[in-house]
Amino acid sequence: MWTEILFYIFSTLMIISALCVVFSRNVVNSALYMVVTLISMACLFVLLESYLLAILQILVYAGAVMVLFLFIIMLIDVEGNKKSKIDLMSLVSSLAVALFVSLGIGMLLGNSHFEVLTNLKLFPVQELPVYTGSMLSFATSAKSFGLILFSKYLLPFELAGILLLMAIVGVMVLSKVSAKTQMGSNKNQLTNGK
Amino acid sequence: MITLSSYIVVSMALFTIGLLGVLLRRNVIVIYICLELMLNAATLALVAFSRYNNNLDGSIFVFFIITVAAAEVAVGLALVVALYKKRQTVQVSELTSLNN
Repeated sequence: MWTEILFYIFSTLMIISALCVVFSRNVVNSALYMVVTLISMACLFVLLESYLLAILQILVYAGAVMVLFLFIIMLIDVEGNKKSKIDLMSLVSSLAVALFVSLGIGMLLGNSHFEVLTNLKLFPVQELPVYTGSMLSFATSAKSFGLILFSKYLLPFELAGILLLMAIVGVMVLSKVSAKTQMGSNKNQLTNGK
Repeated sequence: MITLSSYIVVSMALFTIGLLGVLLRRNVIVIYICLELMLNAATLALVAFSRYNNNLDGSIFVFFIITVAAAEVAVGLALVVALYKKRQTVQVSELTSLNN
């Protein structure tokens, strides 16, 4: 009973804050509503018994990615509300596209696959304390994550490390180029001053 | 009774709201935030499927999605900062030099 109530609370909170992300006029407000969305999604992960992913979501997404967004918002001079009004034509066309996308996904769910989905029952939470072999994957989530990550998914793990290295080098290169041009303009100012 | 399809409906609604945000907003940073919202909708669907099949592969996929999204956000925001230094604007309606 509690899982149903909590599911409805967190999913409603998530959808309301996602709507506030899209329709708020201030960029900082959008970023903060996104943090609320991410935290409610972490609560939904806890309801789905993926505790490691919930903590990872809060640490990485809400804690690092959104903080990076807020830093960039502070760096970039945000204009006022004079340009943020949405004209009617783009609103109508966007709503039409969103309606078509949701209808498409709904038709995908409403087809013959739906019987397969309804036959899958959630393992009742009251019966989970006995951690047999079949339920081990959600019993100690960090340990089973580590087991799978280093045996079956070792190659994606190493590639993710290389990808992060490339991202670091790429960010350093991208922020170095503007520093060189600034140094060049400073040199020009020095020579012209003489 | 919370079935798998209720989680899929929530993920679908979140994805549609993110898509609406990408289409409607004119600030590049808000477009990027709504893109992250769409990614999160996909991660919710993956974790729901992983739970209902008692399979950990979906959660591993989510692990890598979070990693790739963090790297992508870092590089993308560096690009946005470089673009702002060049053009002094972040409104998409003014960044139209590739048109015509």
